[in-house]
Amino acid sequence: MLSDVFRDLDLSVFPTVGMIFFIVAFVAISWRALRCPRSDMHDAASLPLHDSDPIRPKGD
Amino acid sequence: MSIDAAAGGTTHQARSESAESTGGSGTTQGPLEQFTYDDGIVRMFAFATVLWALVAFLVGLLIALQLAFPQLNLGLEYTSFGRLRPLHTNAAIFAFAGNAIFAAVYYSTQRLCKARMFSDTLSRLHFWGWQFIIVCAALTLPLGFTQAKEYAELEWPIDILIAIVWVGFFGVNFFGTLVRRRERHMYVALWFYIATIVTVAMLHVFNSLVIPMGLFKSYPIYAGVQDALIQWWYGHNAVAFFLTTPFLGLMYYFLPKAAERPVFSYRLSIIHFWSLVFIYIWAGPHHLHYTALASWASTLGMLFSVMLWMPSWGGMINGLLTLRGAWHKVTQDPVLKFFVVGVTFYGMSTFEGPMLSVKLVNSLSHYTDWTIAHVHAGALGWNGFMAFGMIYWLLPRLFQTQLWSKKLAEWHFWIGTIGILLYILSMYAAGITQGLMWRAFDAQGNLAFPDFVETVTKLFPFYLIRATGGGLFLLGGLLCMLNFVMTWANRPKTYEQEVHSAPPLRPVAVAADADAQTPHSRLHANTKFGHEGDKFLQGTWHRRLEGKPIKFMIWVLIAVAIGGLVEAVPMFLVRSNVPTIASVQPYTPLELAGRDIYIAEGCYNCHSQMIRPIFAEVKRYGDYSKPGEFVYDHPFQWGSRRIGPDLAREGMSNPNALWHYNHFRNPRDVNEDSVMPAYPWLLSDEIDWSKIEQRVQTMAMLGVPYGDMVEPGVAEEDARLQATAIAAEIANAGGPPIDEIREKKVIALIAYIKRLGVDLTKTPPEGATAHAE
Ligand code: HEC
Repeated sequence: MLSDVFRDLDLSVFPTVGMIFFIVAFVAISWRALRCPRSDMHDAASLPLHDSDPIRPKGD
Repeated sequence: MSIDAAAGGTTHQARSESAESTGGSGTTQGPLEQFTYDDGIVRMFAFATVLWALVAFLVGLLIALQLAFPQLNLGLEYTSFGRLRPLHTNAAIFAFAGNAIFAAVYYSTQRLCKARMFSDTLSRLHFWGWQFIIVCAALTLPLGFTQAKEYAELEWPIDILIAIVWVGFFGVNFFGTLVRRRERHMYVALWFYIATIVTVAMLHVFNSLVIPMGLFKSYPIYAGVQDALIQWWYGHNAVAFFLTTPFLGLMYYFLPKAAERPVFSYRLSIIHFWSLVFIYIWAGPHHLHYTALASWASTLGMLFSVMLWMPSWGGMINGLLTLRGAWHKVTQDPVLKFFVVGVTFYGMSTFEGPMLSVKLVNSLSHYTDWTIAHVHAGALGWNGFMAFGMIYWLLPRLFQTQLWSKKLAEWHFWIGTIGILLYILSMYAAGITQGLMWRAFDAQGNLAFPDFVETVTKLFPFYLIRATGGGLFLLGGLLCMLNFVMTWANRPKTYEQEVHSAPPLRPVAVAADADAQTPHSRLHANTKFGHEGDKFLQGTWHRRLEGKPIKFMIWVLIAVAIGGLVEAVPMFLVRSNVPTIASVQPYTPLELAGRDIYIAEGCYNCHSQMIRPIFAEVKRYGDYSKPGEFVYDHPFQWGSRRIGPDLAREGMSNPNALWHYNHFRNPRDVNEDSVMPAYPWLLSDEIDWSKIEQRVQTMAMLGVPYGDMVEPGVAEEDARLQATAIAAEIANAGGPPIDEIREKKVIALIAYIKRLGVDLTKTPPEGATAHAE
């Protein structure tokens, strides 16, 4: 059964597998983040500043 | 509610001429669509945030004082420490922080998506559903209805409600808005919200799997070590995905708004996001160092916790550097002050967290107030101040008038900051003091402080300082409420509804756009694999991912699910991970009833049942705990804080029934300096005999080998016999007569206490087998 498969696995590989999994994903994402054109980054970063809700003095 | 009274005000064509610039997503052309934002819902959540903050702080202050003056529970069962502490944590996390998150999400999502929320009805259902859940929690926890798992105490009917409100109302509403958005790029704050919604749903469902026994009682399907692992996988990630990711979303939106400049590095925010999503989910087992959990799992937890430090500090630096060139504003703006200190506390907590997860440090800090200091640096400093900063920024915008008093907000800031500092510094001192006292030896090699209570009375001055700090923080909250109400009172008669316009994102345009974004390989050689690789490296795959909320959600889910699976699957499949011990037998029916009293009274809030393999600990409490001792513990009761001594071997070290009887009546009769609450009601309330059988049957359903005990009448008879025996023991030792006490709850509780930890040294009953290999 499945539990036999897992029994024979050396569990100490799990941290290693986890580490490798993480590093691959991390490198891919860092790569993408660093490669992205500056203008795109700037546009994205400015999104929250597009709209503004002005503070009015005491309402009408 | 009155806060929302003017929400349906007149619609002004306030800014239609500037529509072109507002709708500048630039990816599609088409007729402009007009829309307004629903700020009424933000007003409601904002008010709930401040209201529940006061409740959470007040209950916190009360239980903090109870640790110095135990009489402050007023002798009532409903206000005793074990029942109120879960109320405090739940109120702080789910009521205060929760409503703050919702206010942030509802305000910023609409603006970042250039779309009104998907459904106003869902928004209202979400709001009222969530407040209803909070009220249910506030009623059931003091009544002793609890699953006894930290931050997941609420019983199963409320758990179902939470799932409905979170996924069905909030989730659908949020993702519906994303799908209907008019801005192609999903800003990073939205990613954090997505991760929050998806992960919290997953955690909540898996940690809440129980078999109900009546409307207000249930047993988890997991037992012992597995239950502990699942619980702390949940517990840690509640911190990660309820108190961190949504607040980072809040930070990435509101901090640039308040500073009026874009975030320092958007690249960094992307790396910040994905690293947190990948790493956090693995860190849970660091709550279980040196416990009966397999050590590879806790080492994995430690490793990933240490890795968390980097991205977290990346986020902090990103937040603080957003203020570059704007520091002069900080001196004048209370909002920025709250944010700066909040983000700084984020940095502090995320440095301290990894440090505490290092086993060596953890061996000192665990079970002490050091952990309490750590969580309050996070909750008061990071969550509290980010929430208050946001509230002050929102108030004038939501109520379309000036903030009533900027000065009062400044006062709130300073009082709150001093409050946090008093709180955490005193708790560091208390934690380290007590931790060192527990492990101190004298020259003869004996424990220097063998009487546990000595290590508690030593903390008295620290507890007073802590209460002062908490009191100041509460005072700050009151000032915020005053400012809130007064600003609201100054609102216009009808709110001006600004009409925005932007072109829709049309599916056709998406396809064309996606095509335009598909990179062409720059390689000349004719290798297919190389071309694909080069396109991948050009990185547009992620940009496209950012445009697709559902796909994005699925990737986040995959990332977080892998972490959980890698840890949990082997735990569930490998028997050898939890070797059973032949002499460990199921609890008797009476002990089971006593255990449920232990759970209902929240004794686990003050007592651990887990002796770590550390010399001083074994010396104090007895042989260290083995995983096989907990195989029938639905739920596990290992605890996380020792305000009182560990009870894992209490049955061995202190089997005297009369002593326990007197101790439960009033601990100070037995131990003058004790801060444990008195439990007089356990001496007067009667055991509910009719439930005895049901309990055993439910446990049998979960796989506990009860054999004939499940037959009608057997369990109850067994329980009555055992109760009489214990009552006789008490009577013979000079206590009250048998007939007066044998039906009382305290007898069941004593039966349970006397059983704790004794099985290990028994000879196994005939026919029992052990599966240890
Ligand atoms: C506010 C924290 C607190 C709560 C809640 C609490 N205790 Fe205690 N408990 C203590 C402290 C402190 C001591 C040590 C002083 C003493 O013996 O009273 C203690 C001692 C004990 C002891 C004696 C341990 C020994 O030295 O042999 C037992 C047994 C015990 N508690 C059981 C319980 C049970 C059962 C509950 C729930 C019904 C409970 N406690 C709730 C704080 C608490």
